[in-house]
Amino acid sequence: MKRCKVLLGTFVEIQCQQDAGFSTDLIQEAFADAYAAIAKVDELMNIHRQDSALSRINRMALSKPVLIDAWIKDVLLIAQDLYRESNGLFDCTYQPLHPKRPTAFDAIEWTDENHLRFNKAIELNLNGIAKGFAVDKAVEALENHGITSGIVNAGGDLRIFGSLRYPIYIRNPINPLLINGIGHLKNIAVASSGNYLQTHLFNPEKHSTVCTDSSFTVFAKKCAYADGLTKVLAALGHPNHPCFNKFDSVALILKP
Amino acid sequence: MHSNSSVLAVLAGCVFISAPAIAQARIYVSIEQIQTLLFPTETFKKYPVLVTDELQKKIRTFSGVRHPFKGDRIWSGSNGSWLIIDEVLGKHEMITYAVAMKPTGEIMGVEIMEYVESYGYEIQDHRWRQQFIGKTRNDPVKLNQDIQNISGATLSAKHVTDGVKRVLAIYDLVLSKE
Repeated sequence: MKRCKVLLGTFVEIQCQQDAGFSTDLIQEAFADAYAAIAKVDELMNIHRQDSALSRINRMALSKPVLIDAWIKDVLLIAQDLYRESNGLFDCTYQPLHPKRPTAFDAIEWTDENHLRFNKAIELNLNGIAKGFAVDKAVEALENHGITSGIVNAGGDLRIFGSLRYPIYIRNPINPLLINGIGHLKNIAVASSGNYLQTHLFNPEKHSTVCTDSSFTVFAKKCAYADGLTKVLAALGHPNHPCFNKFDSVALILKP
Repeated sequence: MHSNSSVLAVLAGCVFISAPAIAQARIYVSIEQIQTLLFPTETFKKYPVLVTDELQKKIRTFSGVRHPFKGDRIWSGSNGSWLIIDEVLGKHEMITYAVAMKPTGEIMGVEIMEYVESYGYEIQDHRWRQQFIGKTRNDPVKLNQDIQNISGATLSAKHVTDGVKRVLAIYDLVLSKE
């Protein structure tokens, strides 16, 4: 059974195996929870919404400690992990619209378990990781409903969970209408980045846009890591960095 | 349920190849399913709207969607709610979607029903492809059927947003006055 909705500015497709004993209603309940999880991530972390929790943090954290939602905290901990292991190549305090702003993930100070403040005038931007995190949360919701296998695909950031294998394809970076078959995979997350549709990649170290015709794909256990690591891969331009091993991930660059 | 095998082990044996693929329709939900999904307790009857040239023009101006709106896929619910099915042209594909509306015109849900995307053929080594087909285990390679799992795609979700805008225009110009 599969469904598709527009969320996070893209198509979010959920597909799952309908096991014996599972009524269509039960599956639809699981789908509804999975989509609700993705909508929640959108509401919390959308930088374009003035009323999102993320925008609130960006407005207030320089002047006083701000209470952080549990999911944003989860994302920030993953982001911190990626920041440290990539030596700053993944940095969600980089603001492409304001390249002169300080980029400093270390300027985030946790004043207690659930409060943080900024020590410099930084801004958080979770676009490089939130979609992958949303996919992980949707998978969690489906698993909580007892769904044994399926796939969640948020505009190309996808995760396959459970016992079944699904075929995976990666777009050709020059002609997105051409796709490359990767194989039938299970228990894996895949994310790709490139400049071929609408994303723009940035290198926080060089404070510049990554100019490339290539696409950058990372396979990992969790989609948040796969998503975040594609930005590291794009900034590097090659897959030789210890952080890919560290996160048990595989990096792939498709060149035209 | 979860295997502890490493990502590398999961990928072992996969060789990166070009796979041929052609136009593909992905059907997510039928009209009947849409009604039970979006309005579990309502009954619906068809409510066709005559789309005059003048109305078509107004809708286009309001939404920016050029593809003509068809008025024969509107249903009214027993409590005054609306169900409207429409389609827009994405970047490379047709997208059929359903919009559920409260009697007040407030949108309750948008559901993608059908999505057709075409892909070209990559130049490929035919022998290699055969080898690949032979290698897959219990799951026969359905390259021409199963192309939904594509990484690296941020497709034309914006076109659906524009489409929803024109459904709102239909409500504003016609349905709200009924």
